[in-house]
Amino acid sequence: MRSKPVVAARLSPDRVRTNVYAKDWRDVVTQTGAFLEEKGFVEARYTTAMLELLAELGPYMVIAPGVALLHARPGSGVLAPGVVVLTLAQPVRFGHSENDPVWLVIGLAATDPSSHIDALTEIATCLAEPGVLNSLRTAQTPESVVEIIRGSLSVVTEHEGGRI
Amino acid sequence: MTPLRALVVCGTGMGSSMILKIMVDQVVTQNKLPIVLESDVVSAAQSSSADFFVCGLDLVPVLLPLGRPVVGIKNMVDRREILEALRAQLAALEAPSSGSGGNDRKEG
Repeated sequence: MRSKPVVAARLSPDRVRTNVYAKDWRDVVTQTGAFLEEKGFVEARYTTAMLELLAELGPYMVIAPGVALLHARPGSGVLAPGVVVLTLAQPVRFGHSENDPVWLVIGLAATDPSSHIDALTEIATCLAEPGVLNSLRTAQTPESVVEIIRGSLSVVTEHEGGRI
Repeated sequence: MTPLRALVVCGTGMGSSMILKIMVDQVVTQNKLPIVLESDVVSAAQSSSADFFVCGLDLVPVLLPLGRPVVGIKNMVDRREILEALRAQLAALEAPSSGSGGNDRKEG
């Protein structure tokens, strides 16, 4: 079935920031939203939508220990599907019962569920690869983050083929 | 045995629930678990006919009042955690009614 990586092809160092300083989770969300906006993926109101969603439903976007997948609904000012990645200089608490504090942030802009499922499949598969999170934690530059993610996806492609 | 229906639940149905659904899908397929999966937003959970819900830990309190079992996953990209949680839920749902045979609770 699908074999061409979506995220790996699109994720370039200019969509990654390492050692970002943020004073709290709102600051993390605001900076992630601004980054998505700067790259032309969303309008400014997407950030507001993300903040509202977190306020409404709690920090459920913290999907794994230390990892937040920040997103809002597709109708909230998404211009184009896109992903940005930030690592935090100092981990930040989102108020999650188990997975705090967060040090890796994936900012996601999705236009609709079906068109973005390939990208999400890659993100999930990448993060599930043993060792990837540990490598990302010590990555100091956007280039090395991109390299780690691409590397993990090529391993996955070889091992699992188009099974997903 | 009739497959059970599980609803993967998220706030928007777009981001984290997709990640969780993708991972749960992989675990169900790889381990041939008798589960049929759907995914939807929190507000749709009430009207769903699912036998149980699967969600991130922090949505558990939102879903519990609906009166159906809730499987809360801490690490959505940890296949082992997901597999153990699903097996436990399957065992819990099957135990009361399944009287004759077919009990394949093989713990690794």
